[in-house]
Amino acid sequence: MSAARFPRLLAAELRLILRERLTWAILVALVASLCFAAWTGADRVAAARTALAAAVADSERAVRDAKAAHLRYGRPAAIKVNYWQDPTDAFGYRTYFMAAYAVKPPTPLAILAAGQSDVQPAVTKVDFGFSTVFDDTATEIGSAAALRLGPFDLAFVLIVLVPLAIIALAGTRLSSEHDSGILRMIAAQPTGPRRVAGAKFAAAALVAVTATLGGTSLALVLSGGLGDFAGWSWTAALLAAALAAYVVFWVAACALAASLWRGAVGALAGLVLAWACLTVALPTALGLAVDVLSPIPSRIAAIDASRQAQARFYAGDEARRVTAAWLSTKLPEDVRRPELADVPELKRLARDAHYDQALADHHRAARAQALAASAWSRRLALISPATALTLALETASGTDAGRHAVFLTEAVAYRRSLRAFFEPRILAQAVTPAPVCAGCPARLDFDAYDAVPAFAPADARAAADRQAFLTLACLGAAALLLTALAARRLKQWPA
Amino acid sequence: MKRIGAELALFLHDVRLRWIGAVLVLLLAVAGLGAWRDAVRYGAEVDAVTAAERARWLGQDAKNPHSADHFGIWVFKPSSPLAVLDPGSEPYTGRMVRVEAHVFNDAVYRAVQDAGPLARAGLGSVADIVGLVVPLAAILLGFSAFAADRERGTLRLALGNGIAPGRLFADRFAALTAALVLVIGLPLLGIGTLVALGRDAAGWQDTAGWQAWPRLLAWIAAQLAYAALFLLVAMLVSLRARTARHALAAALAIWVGLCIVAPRLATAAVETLVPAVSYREVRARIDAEMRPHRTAEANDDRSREILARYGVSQPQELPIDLRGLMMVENDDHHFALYDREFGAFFDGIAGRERVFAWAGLLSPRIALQALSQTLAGTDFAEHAHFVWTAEAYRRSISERMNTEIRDRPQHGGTTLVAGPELWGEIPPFAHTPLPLTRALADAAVPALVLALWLAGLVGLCVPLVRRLKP
Repeated sequence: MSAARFPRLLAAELRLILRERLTWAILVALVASLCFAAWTGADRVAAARTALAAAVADSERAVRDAKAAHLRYGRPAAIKVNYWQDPTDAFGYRTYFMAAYAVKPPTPLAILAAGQSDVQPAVTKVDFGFSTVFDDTATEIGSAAALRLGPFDLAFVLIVLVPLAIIALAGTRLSSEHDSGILRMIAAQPTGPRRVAGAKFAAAALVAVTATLGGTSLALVLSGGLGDFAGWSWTAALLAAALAAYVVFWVAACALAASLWRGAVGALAGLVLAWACLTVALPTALGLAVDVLSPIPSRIAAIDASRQAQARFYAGDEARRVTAAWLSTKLPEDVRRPELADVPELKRLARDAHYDQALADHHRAARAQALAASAWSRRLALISPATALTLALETASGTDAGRHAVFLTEAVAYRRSLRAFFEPRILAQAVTPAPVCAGCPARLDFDAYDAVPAFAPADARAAADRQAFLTLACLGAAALLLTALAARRLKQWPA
Repeated sequence: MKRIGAELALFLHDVRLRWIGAVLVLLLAVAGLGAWRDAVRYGAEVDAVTAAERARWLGQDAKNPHSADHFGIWVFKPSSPLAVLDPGSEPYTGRMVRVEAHVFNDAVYRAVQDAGPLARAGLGSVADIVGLVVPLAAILLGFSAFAADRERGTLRLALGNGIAPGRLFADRFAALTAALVLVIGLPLLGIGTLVALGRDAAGWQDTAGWQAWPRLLAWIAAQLAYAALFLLVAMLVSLRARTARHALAAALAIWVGLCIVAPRLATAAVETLVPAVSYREVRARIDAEMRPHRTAEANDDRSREILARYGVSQPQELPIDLRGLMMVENDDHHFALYDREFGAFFDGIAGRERVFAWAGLLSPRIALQALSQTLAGTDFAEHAHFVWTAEAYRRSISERMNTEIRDRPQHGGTTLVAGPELWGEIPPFAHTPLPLTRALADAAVPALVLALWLAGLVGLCVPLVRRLKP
């Protein structure tokens, strides 16, 4: 058979595959699933944007309220304003009124994967209380049943259902012909097994790639959930290529299963088991490996350490001593006065610093573990095509654990920047109290509400590009490897 | 019985059963023992820190009771013994709460937050394995029950020998069920026994109230019923399929539909049909309602109202401490607000969980999940019970501290100072799980749904077996 006849063979196989009712049933079900998944994704992204908008509105409301209070308390009045009721005081505003948020905005491709977004909220209020020990306590309590079962998102359809659709489409090609005896007739023709198999599986690959990429694009357009694409087209192109490689990988797996000549039952059972291993069992094993490689530090030990620090601080005269020591690092000697150690606001600042110091090791360990777990996950995910693509989609969506670990670190830095903004003002007020109008009930020492630093989220695009490229390389290599293995085995017709 | 024994002997010689059994036992053992190790570690840590917290509470210096209230205490959720088999909602809900003055704190540190991103792949627990892999095992065991014989022509021989199709079906089903009990029931019973006995022996957490043994037996029965259900699916398909290939393909398609696709579709459907208010919105609403209550003006109004209530003009003339009474009334306001908002929120989630139990009509995996976690004592109802128990404990501390301040008015600018006697009046935190009767009542719907699935499949068997063709 000359090379020129291969396109004709391919065209014939394409016609055959497209004439099968099963093909159309599979394709319709796949596209419907993609559209439904995109719709749920658009809903999720809209909810995330609503949460972000609510955070912004709350921050603005806090500033508005504080400014109104400044005006109200700037006039003589016969009421008593305690420090926890006074937004005109730097300490009062920072601790009880300010609504500062660290946020993780959805990326333009956020519709693709829910990722960890259902357990790691994208909005966290930065406060200066001490009810919690760590910074990752923001929580969005929801139905545990839904969380256990998982969302019906595009990542689920692309990673879990697309391979099943491919197995249904191409899993018994050649092997069913082997079972029914038609293969002997094909073998009697002047064509080698590689060309026949090549045409059959290339046709299946063409149909599957077109349906998957086309269906995904259609679903994304119909859902209207894509954000502003500016600067993200390269990421989208890499993801599309990775997705195509994933589809080809599964078609090649079908070819390899057929090349074992174990019959349709064997091919089908083998493929489904391979699918179960690659999409369920191997990711679970990799998850266990990540747990071993980056052991989780004990939360309870951190709680215990925080309580020990708290108990120490309140024992005897320790609070005064700690506050005096803290003041000695913050104020020049000539302005230090012994009574400053008894000022409640300064005691509170010193206490927070004391707690931070007591928990520093635990915080460091927790952050290091989160970063190490995400780094190991990124590396190990490449072992399984399913986890590799999952991570690429999640990273592009900005819903991956790695971005969240970075986000938490940024939130901590933001908290520090807020502390650096307020501390000098609180100290200055304690050392040299601002004069207050006669009869005014509040302290009126702070009105720089608009100058409070805002959180600047980091760009997630570089990480998304890197992960998509790595995934494309790995999936491309895996697809080529399986194709080569299948081609090697298909050198001869079965006996 | 003789024929069942013969069928079972045939299956026991089948290499498929050995492989499937080995894989299942390995998976269940790894997941079960890993969870047991984590549970032992968590229990030991909780016991140690609970004792330390109690000592810290009792060992506080003399101070104003309100300061002690702010010092607070951490309380921890005791894990159900069967959480090793089915952690249910536990990884998705916090297990540690700091109880302190004024604030209804969240239960924090959800295990799922700490778990790596790959940990949610689907086989994290024994219950996950039963939910996903056991149906596959049942299908792989049952798909060839009739189709392979039909393909080989031996079904014609068997029926020709005068065996009634119904009897043949029942014998094979009984033999395969016995095989499933062997490879699923026994490992589950082994792990469950280890957990129940191990916990009793180690005594690292109070197991009283959990009624682990009846829960364990009911739980295993539910898992076996689920496995038998998929065995029936495979055998029904096998009854109709022309070839073993067709039977396998159809049974696998059903497995994908019921165990992979339907549960996620149900998630989307329930979230669409039963919209729930987000927790963030509830918190925002509570904050918004508290804000005007906390202002200096509102505070001033309330203190004037109290003075008027007692017919005095100065706080010193009151028979009680003004600040203490205001704290009592302030907390009452907060409690009512928390009860209303969080009560409605938790009721909403509980309602969603109930809808999920009915969503089991779409897939037996959903019904099993709801049934399994309820029997294991790891469902959302148990979590909500813990949250409200912790809140009740918090309120009892606040109320005792506030009344101490209220009833001992101080004059001349002095501050009330209390000591160990008062701290000792606060009992240790004690959490009793929901009674088994409540769990059984909650399990009624998912159990009914699972029973409906079984009944439906048995109902399908009758005409198909009657029309069995060789």
